[in-house]
Amino acid sequence: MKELLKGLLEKNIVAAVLVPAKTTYGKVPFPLFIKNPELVEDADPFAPVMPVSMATQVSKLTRLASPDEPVAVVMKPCELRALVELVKFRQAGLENLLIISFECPGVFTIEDYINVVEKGENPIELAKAKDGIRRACRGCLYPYPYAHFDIAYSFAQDGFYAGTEKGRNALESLGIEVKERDEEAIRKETEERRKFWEEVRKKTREEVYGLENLMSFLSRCVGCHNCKDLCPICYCKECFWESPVFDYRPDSFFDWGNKKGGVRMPTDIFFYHVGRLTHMSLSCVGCGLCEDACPQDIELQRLFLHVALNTQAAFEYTPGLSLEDVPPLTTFKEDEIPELG
Amino acid sequence: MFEPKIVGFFCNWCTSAAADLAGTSRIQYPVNVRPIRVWCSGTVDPAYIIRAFIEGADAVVVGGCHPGDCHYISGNYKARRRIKLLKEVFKSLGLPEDRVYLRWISASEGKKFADTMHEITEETRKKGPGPFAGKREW
Repeated sequence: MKELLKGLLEKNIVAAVLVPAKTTYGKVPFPLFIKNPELVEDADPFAPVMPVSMATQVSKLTRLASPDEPVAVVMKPCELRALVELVKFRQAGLENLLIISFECPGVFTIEDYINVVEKGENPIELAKAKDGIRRACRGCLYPYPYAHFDIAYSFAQDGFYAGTEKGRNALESLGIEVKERDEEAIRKETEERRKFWEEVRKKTREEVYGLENLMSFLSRCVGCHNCKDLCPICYCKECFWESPVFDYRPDSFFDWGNKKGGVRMPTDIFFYHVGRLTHMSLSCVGCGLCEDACPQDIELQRLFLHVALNTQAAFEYTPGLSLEDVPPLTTFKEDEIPELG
Repeated sequence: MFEPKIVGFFCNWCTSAAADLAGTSRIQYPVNVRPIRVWCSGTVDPAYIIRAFIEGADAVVVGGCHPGDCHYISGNYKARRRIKLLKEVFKSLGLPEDRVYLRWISASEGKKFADTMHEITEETRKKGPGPFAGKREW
């Protein structure tokens, strides 16, 4: 992969690459926007860790304008699906991007990743053996790039295949062999992970069903909103949940006290999580950054994805697969939903 | 007897006018309903409905213009999708989605307005208090 990135830069096929890379100060790779081909040495494209979503970084790069010159971006499949959603909401553009993805074995939490590295073990090999990767990744529904990628890498085939003509041309002009995608291997791997998810989901369904259960599931929530801040789908500049709606005057507390006896503080934990599900669940790709971001270790990914799959099914919508699929709340049909009249 | 509290988000152009018509026609409807006039049923974010429950509502009803009659052309179609979404979230979490109502009531349907409010009030009376009644955590 590094040879590919270096070649793309040296042959001026792209003017820059955006890829997870070593940082100067820490052990966890972060996205690095690279102009100087020599810096590709620091790239760690397959590092099985995801401190932030690359989709969010691509949005930062392309939201105000498309780059004038082509940029290659290396993204995990879930990041690519989140990016597809962001493009639909006009928060990112694909113009002048060369998207490189790969069949992703899954990632560790930041903490686990650092431990693995400090023990001198090879994190990629461990991830391929599914040894210690995040639960969200074990149950990933699309562990492979589905669409809207130009080039993809497969560990199993130890080679690249193309998703578009642009990708094929880039590979060919660098003299890199273009393989055929092994659909059967992908199907098998995906099936295994989906089976894992179904088990998780079964357990989750019971654990969060009913107000009492849901409230216990969320009972440690401190209301920090980190889950929203790291969510690649939550792009609103002015989030409803950060708005002055939640600046209460003292009388509100006295009113609640009179009505309910007392008030748990901080308030609005249920309101925030369930309300946010109505805002973002239709586009949730299940990446699990919400859960990684939670200081209280609440297993949010399985709660959110469980609900999201239901809302998505209700509108026959799967986020992140195709730019042609229109987000359900941005459209309507005149003749639909007869149960609501 | 348990007197349910019902929060109504009523479109300015239809259901709110229907409430006025019921009033001027001297058609009685239950005082259990607390009407909130909104510009369009399409402005009602599901978050407001959740908020109403948290504040102690036993049911919430959104009233909009009949399909095809929206003052803003398509707000009611959008409302219908939002309510469907909220109901799916509630269903997934075992929350009382049957306490969320969407009704189309035009400005000329004062009688229908009163009948609908009677119906929702009676149903809710049977169901008992809403999910957050007396709860100190939300």
